[in-house]
Amino acid sequence: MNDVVSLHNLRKKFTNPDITALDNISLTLPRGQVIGLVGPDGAGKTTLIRLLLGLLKPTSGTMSVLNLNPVTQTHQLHRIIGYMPQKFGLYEDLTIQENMNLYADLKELSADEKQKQFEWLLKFTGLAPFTERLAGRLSGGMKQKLGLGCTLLGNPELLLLDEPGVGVDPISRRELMKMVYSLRDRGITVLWSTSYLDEAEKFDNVLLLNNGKLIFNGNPQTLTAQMNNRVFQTAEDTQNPRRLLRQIMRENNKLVDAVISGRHVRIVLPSSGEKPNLKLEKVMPHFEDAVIDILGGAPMKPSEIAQQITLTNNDNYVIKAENLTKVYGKFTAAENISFNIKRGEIFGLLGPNGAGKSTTFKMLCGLAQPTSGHGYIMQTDMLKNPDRARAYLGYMAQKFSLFATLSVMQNLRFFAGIYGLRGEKREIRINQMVSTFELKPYINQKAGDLPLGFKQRLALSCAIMHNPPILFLDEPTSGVDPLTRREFWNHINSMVEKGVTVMVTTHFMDEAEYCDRIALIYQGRAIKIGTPDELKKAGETMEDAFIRLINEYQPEAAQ
Amino acid sequence: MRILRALIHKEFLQIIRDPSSIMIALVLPFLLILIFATAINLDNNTIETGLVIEGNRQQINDIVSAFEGSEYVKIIHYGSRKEAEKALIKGDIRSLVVLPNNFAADFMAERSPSIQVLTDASDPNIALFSSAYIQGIVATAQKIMLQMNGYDAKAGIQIEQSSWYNPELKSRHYILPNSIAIIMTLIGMLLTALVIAREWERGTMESLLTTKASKLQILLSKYIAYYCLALSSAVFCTFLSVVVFNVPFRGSFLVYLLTSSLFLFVSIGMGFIISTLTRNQFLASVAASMFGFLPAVMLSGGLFEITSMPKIIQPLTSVIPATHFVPIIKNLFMAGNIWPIIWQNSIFLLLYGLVMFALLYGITKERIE
Amino acid sequence: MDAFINKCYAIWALVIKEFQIIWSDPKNRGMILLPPIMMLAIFSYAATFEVNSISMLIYDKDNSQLSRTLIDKLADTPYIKHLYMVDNPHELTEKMDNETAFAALTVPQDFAKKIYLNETPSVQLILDGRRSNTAQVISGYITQIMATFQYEIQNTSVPKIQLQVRHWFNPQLNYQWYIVTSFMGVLVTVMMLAITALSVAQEKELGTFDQVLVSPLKPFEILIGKTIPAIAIAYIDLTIMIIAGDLVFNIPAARGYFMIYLCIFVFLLSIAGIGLFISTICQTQQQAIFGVFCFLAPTFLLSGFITPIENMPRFLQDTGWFNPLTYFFRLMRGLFLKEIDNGTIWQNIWPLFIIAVCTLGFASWFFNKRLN
Repeated sequence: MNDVVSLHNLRKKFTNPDITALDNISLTLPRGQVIGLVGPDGAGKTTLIRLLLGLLKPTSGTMSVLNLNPVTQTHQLHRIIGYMPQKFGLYEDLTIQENMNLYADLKELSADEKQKQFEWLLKFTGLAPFTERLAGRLSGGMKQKLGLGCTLLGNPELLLLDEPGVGVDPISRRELMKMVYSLRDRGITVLWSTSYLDEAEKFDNVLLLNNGKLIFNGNPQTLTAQMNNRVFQTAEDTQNPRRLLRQIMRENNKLVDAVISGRHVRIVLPSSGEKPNLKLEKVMPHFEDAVIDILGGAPMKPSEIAQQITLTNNDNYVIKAENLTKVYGKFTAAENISFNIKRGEIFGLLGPNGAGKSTTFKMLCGLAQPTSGHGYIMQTDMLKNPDRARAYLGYMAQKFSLFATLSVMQNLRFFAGIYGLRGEKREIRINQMVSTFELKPYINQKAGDLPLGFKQRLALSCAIMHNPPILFLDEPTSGVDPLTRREFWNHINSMVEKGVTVMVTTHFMDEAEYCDRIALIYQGRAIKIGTPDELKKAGETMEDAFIRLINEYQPEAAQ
Repeated sequence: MRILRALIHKEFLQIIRDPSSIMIALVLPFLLILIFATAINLDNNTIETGLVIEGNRQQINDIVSAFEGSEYVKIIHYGSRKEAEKALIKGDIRSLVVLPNNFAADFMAERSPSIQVLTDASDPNIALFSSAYIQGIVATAQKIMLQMNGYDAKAGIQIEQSSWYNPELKSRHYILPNSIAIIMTLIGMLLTALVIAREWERGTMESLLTTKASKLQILLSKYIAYYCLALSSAVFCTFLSVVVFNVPFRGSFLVYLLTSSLFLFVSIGMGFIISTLTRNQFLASVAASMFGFLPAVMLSGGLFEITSMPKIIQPLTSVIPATHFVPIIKNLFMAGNIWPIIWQNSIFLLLYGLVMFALLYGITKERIE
Repeated sequence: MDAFINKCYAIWALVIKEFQIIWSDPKNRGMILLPPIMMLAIFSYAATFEVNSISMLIYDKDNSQLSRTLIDKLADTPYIKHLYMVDNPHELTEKMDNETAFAALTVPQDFAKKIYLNETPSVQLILDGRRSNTAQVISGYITQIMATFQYEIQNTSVPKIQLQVRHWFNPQLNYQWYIVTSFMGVLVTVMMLAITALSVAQEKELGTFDQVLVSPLKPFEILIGKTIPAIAIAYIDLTIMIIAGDLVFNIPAARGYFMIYLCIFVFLLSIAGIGLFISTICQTQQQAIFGVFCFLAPTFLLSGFITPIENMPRFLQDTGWFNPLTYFFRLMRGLFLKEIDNGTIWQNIWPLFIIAVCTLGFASWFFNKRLN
C-alpha cells in the first residue's frame, strides 16, 4: 500500500443544525506529495481533516490513514501524524523554546534527537534568534512557522495543515510554502487546506470540495490548462476601473468572472467563448479562474447596496494622517506616518505582519492614541473630538467581532441602534441590508453559527448600517473564499463609486490591485505610497513588487 | 510518564506566566486569613446597650454599677425612654434596659421588681446574645440586692466550667482552620473552573488531542499542577495561622497533608467538571462561586452548626466536600489526631474524589463532537 | 434635544443587547434565576447561630434522686436533643474527642448530700472549645437551667428580679427575616459584579468591545449601557426574594416597598460603579475574577453580617465607611423591620451616593485613559 490516505464512501452528517458536511467522498492520496485542499467556506475542508485525525467519527464509510483506522487506532495514528489547527494551537503564554520542549516531550523524542531536531527546526523556521520570546508576542507569520515547526517534531509521515496561510503576509507565506516543499523532498506527505488559490496553483495535487462533495481531484495545472483562451484583460488603461467593471458586469452577465487589476479589468469568458464588446488582450489563466469556473462563476450583478447612498460632503481629503507615531516602551510601532486620503478613494495599507499597519489603522479609528502626531477624519481631530470623528466611521475588524450568541437580526438591530438609527428609518435600513446581503434564510440563526462567508456579510452590513462616508476594513477577507471575496468587493466598489472612502488592510495581493493607492508599511514606516501600477515594475505581479520593495528597503535601513 | 511530566511542566509555566493566578493562589488567601483573624470575632462581643433609669439612681447605684462594670455590654445612658427607643430604632444601640421608677421600692417591699429589656431583633443573633448577657448581669445584681437588703444569700450550685481543646474559647482558633478549608475550596474550584474552559476557548485543546497525550495524562497533569498550587497556598495559610496568629496545631502534619490532598482531589475535580461542562470562563466562574464557594461557607458546618439546621437541609450539607474536611482540619488544629473522625471523613472524601474523577473522565471528550 | 434622544436610543440598544445575550443561553438564564431560589430555599434556613438539637454527655457519679431530677430537667429542655449517659471518664473523653456530644456534665458523688447540708455543691461542665460560639451558647443554657433548678429545690421566698425581655422588630426571633433581608444584598452584589466586571473582560477578549468602541458613543455612555442591564437583573433577583420574603416568611415592609426599591437603587448604582471600575483595569477574565474576589471577600466579611462591626479592631471598623454592604444591611433591616425615619435613611444613603459617583467617575475616566 503506497497510499497515505484512502477513503471509501465517507459521509459525515451533523445534527443541530442538520448539515451533511461530507457526502460520499472516495479518494486515495499517494505518498510524498503536497496536496491542496481547496473549496469555498463550509465545503467540508476542516471536517475532512478532523475525520482523518480521528477527532471526529464518520457517519458512514471507511477510512484508512497511513494504513490505520483513525477511529479505532487513534493513538497509534497520532504518533505518526502532524496537525496544525486553524486556530493557533500553541500556548501563547509559553516561549518558543517552551512550546517546542512541550511538543518534543509529547512526541517522546530522545534527548539526542530532540537536540538534533531543534537545531534543524530553528534553522528551518528562522526562529533561532527568538527562542525566549512568548509565542503570544510573535507576528502572525512567525506563529505559523512555529506551529509548523512543532508539528514537525517527531518526524511525522503525514502533515495536515488547516489554513496555515490565513492572516499571514505574502513573504511569510512564500517561506512557509518553501518549507513545506522541502518537507516533501524528505518524503513527507502534506495536506494543506487553503482558501488562497494562488497557493494551491503550485501544489502537486488538489482536492476541490464544494458543498461536501469532492468535485475535482488531480493536478491543478490540468485544470488551469482548460482555461487557456478564456482569460483576457481590457487592452487600454482606464482612469476609472471601477466604473468600467460595473459597466462590463451590467452588459455581460454571462461572464464567469471579472475583476479589477490595476488600471485594467480582467475577465474570464464562459465556455461558450462569448466575448464582450471590448478591446481585449489575452492573459495567462490562473488556477483561481478554473476553480471559479467549476463553482459556477462569480456573480455578475452589480451591487445594489449603494443605491440609497447620497453623500453631500465634498471635502477633498477625508482622512489625514499627520506624522502619526506610536511608541510602546522601547519599541516604535509606527514612526512619522503621514498620508492623505481623498474622498471616494480605496486606500490600502500593506505590509508584513507586525510592520505597524494595524497600529496605524488603530490610531486613525481611535482605538489607540498616537504618541505624537494627529489623525483627522473629515477635518475632525481624532484626539480632540473622538466621538464626533467616529460617527463618520464604519469599522470591520480583523477577527469576527459581532455578538456570536445573538441572532443575525439582533446584531443588525443592535448596530443600527448604537449608531442612532431608530423607528421606521431603522427598519427600512435593516430590510435593505437583509435583502442586499441575502441574509433572510439566516435571520434567526446565531451569528456565531453562520458560515464564514455569511459572517463576513453580516459584519459588513453592521459596519455600513449608518451610511458612513468612511469605511475602515481591517483584513476584512482573511480566510474567505474567492467567490465571497468577489461579492464583498462588488459591494465595496459600488459604495466607493458613490463617494464612500475606504481604508483597507489586506494580505491578498489581488485585492491590493483594487486599491487606488497603497501605503506599504514596513518597520513602522510608510516606505512607499503610490498607485498599484506605480509600485509594480513592468511584468511584475503585485506580490513580486511587495517582496522586492521590502527587500530593497532592508539594506537601506542597515546602513 | 515523560508526557505527563511535560504536561505538568507546561501547566506550571502557564501558572507562573499569568500573575493573576499566582495572586488568586497566594495574595487572596493572605488577605482572607488576615481578615478572618482580625475581623471575625465571635467571642467577647461587647454590645452597645442603652440604660434608662427612671427613678432615683442613688438607691440602685449598685445595680447600675453592675451593668456599667460588665465586660459584655457597653452602657450608654439615656435620659428618657423615648430618646433611648429612638436610638434603638436608629441602630445606635443594640438593646435597651429600663430600670423603672418603682424598682427600688418594689424590691424593699419584697414585690419582685421588674426590669424591662428591649432588644433589636432585626439582628436575631445579637438580640439573643444581648438578652443572655443582660440575664447574667441581672443574676449578679440579684445577689447584690439580696446582700444589700440583709437576706441570707443561700449557697447556689456552682458550675465549674472548663472547655477542652480551646480553654479560652477563642473563636479565632476555630475560625482560622475553617477559613483554610474555605480558601482551599476557593483555589481548588475557582481557579480550576477556568482552566479547561480556557483551553477550549483558545483552541489549544484541539492540538493536544492530536498528540500522543491521552486524556488521562491531560487530566492528571492539570490535577497535579493545581493540586500543588492549592496545597502550597494551604500550607502558607497554616503557617500564617500558627506562627503569626498563634493558633495551636496539635495533630500530625503528615495527616494534615494527606487529608488536605484528599479534599483538594475532590474540589479540583469539581472545578474541572464545571469547567468542562460550561467551556466558558464567564459561566464557569459564576457557577463556581455560586455552587462551590458560597455553599462551602454557609453549609459546611464551619460557621453555622449543621445539627441546628432544618432536617431537610442537613442531608444536603453532606454533598458539599468541605463538610467532610472541616471536622478533620478543625481537630488537627485544636484536638490532635482524632482517628474516628479522620477515617470516616477521609474515606468519604476519597470515594467522592474518585466519583468526581470518573465523572470528569467520562465527560472529557477525545473527539471534538 | 434631538441629539439627546438619539443618544438615548443608542444606549437603549446597548441595554437590549445585554439582555439578549443573557437570554440567548439557557445556562445564563439559570445563573440569574437559580441563586435567589437557592438562597431562599437553603441558605436562609441554614445560616443560623441559634443552637438547638444539642447532644450532651452526663456522667452521674452521684446517682441520687436529686441528680436524676436534674437530669430529667435537662432532658425536658427543648434544645437538648440527646443525653448520653457515660460511666467512666475514659468514655467521656472518647465521646468528646470524636464529637459525639457538644458538652459533658459531671455530677459529683456528694451532690445531693451537699445540697441537703446546705453547702455549695459543684457540677463540672466541659465544653467543646472547637466550636467556641456554640460552647458559649450552651454554657448560657446550662447556667439558666441550673438556676431554675436551684430555685425549685430551694423554694425560697426572697424577691426575685423579673426580667421582661421583648424582642423588638422581630418578636419571634425569626432568623429568615434577618438572613433574607441581608443576604439578598450579598447575592445581587455577586451577580452585578459578574455582569459588569466579567462581561466587559469577556467582550475585550472576544473583540466585540472594540467594535462598540469605534461607534460614536462616549465612554460613559457605554458604561451606562452596561450599568442599566446589571441593575435591571439585580432588581429581578431582588423582587423574587422580596416576594418570597413576604409570602413565605411574612417579612413586614415597615417603610413600604417604594422606599425600599428607591434605596436599593442607590446601592446597586454603587456596586455597578465598583464592578465597572474593576473592569476598566482588567484585561482578561481571570484578572477580573481576581479583582472581584479581592473586593467581594473583605467587603462581605467586614460588612457586619457575620460579626458586628463594633467588635472589630478600630482600623477595620473605619473601613465600614467605604463598605456599601454595611449601609445596605442597615438600610434593609431598617426599612423592612424597623421603620427608621427619613433622617436615618439619608444618613445611610448619601455615602452610597458618594461611592457610586466616585467609582463611576473613576471608571469612566480610567476607561478614557486606557483607550488613549
